[in-house]
Amino acid sequence: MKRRDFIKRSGALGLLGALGGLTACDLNFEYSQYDVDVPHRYRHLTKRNIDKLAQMNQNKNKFKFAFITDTHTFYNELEDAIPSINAQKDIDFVLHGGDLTLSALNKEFIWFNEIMDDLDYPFLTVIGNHDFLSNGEQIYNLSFGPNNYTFTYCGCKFVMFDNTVWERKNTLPDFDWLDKNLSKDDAKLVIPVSHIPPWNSQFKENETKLFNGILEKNKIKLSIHGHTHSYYRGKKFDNVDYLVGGDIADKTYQIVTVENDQYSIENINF
Amino acid sequence: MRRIFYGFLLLILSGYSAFAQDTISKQTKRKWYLPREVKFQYAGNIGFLAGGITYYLTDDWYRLSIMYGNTSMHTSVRTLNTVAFKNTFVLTKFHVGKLRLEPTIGMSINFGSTHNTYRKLPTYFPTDYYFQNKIHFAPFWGGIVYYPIKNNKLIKGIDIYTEIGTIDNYLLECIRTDKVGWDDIWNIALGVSIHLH
Repeated sequence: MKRRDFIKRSGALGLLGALGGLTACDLNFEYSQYDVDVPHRYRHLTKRNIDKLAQMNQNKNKFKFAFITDTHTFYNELEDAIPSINAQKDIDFVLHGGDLTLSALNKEFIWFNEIMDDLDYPFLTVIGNHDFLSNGEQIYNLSFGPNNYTFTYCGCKFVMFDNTVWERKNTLPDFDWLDKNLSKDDAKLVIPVSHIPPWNSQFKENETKLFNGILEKNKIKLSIHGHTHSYYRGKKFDNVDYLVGGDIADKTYQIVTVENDQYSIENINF
Repeated sequence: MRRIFYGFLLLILSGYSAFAQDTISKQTKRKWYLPREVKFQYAGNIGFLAGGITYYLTDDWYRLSIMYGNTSMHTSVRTLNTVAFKNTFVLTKFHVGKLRLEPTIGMSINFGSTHNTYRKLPTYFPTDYYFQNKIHFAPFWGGIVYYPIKNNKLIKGIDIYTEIGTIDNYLLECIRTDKVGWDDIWNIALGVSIHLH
């Protein structure tokens, strides 16, 4: 065999061998990175986690939850956060402040959920602006549930509110829904959770006033957000105490303790 | 856009009509716009089913396929169209009986259209708020099995091919994170090409 033929055939056989090796990987047919193809085990997670909370002991005046946000594709940091959160033996659940993904690709949602599989606690999420990219909203709705929802735990009502603007073709969030659902009813405390804080540039000045005004009108004490990738805690305007979590790459999350209508916040570094 | 597409299709069909007659007399030079292949592909990040045409740019070692794919017929997705410019390089060729085997590598440039994909952001976004998410680079490698067809005025042969590919986003996360492994990012595609005279 000529040297040239030998090299050609060796190269071809090598390539075929490598191809054979790759078939040992979990090779699937993938129609598009933008596809909406949510595995059944990751569907309706909001309802399933609220159902888990309903099974827990709610006859207590004090409980704790962890707050993480803006995990994007900081997978290494999120994987580091999970054992730290699991080690918090006295928390009841975890809230995620949105931006679960970077580009809202189907695989990104799956990778996020695979990491969250290791969490020992139920977790609930709000949708973030990044989760809206491509077909992300549709994936979110199938994997988690509606963008806006509420749940009550130990007499504390959580109002999970989608307040994305630009990624919804520059349309305003459903502030009427927020106003209506912030009513206290029988709850001891109402805590709204939305991805974008009211003073962010996604809101015009009058919209910031409207957003904050709705919270003030409903006598909200604590409002929780993400988005800015930097931690903030304080009363930006009048009476509402704003908590903005940093991203998970900061290797920090918050533990919120709620006792009747009072709360306290602790930063945890991991 | 649709008019351009139908116009181009008409041009190719009319060209082939003339070419089929010409091949009988073998007197006319092949027209530049006539594709060398008509291709159909299942999966591979360019749609549930994609169809397109292939041109040979450097003999037949470098092949450019222009393909349109759609996914909405399969999944619950509402909007998902893809236009792909597939650059395929044939590494070598060897024959086994009548068959010709061709290992390939390539890079596809995929344009996706969904509810929220941007090449240029709408004006209400601040400049550079997001990196564009409409165009993706998709490297692939695979193989072609070609079977020649004799005594047909239009069809020269047929091939089936398989490709193992990924996209830029997956590669980036594979390099950047421990979570995404080498075996998480690849997917497989199958296709058939009809080679034309």
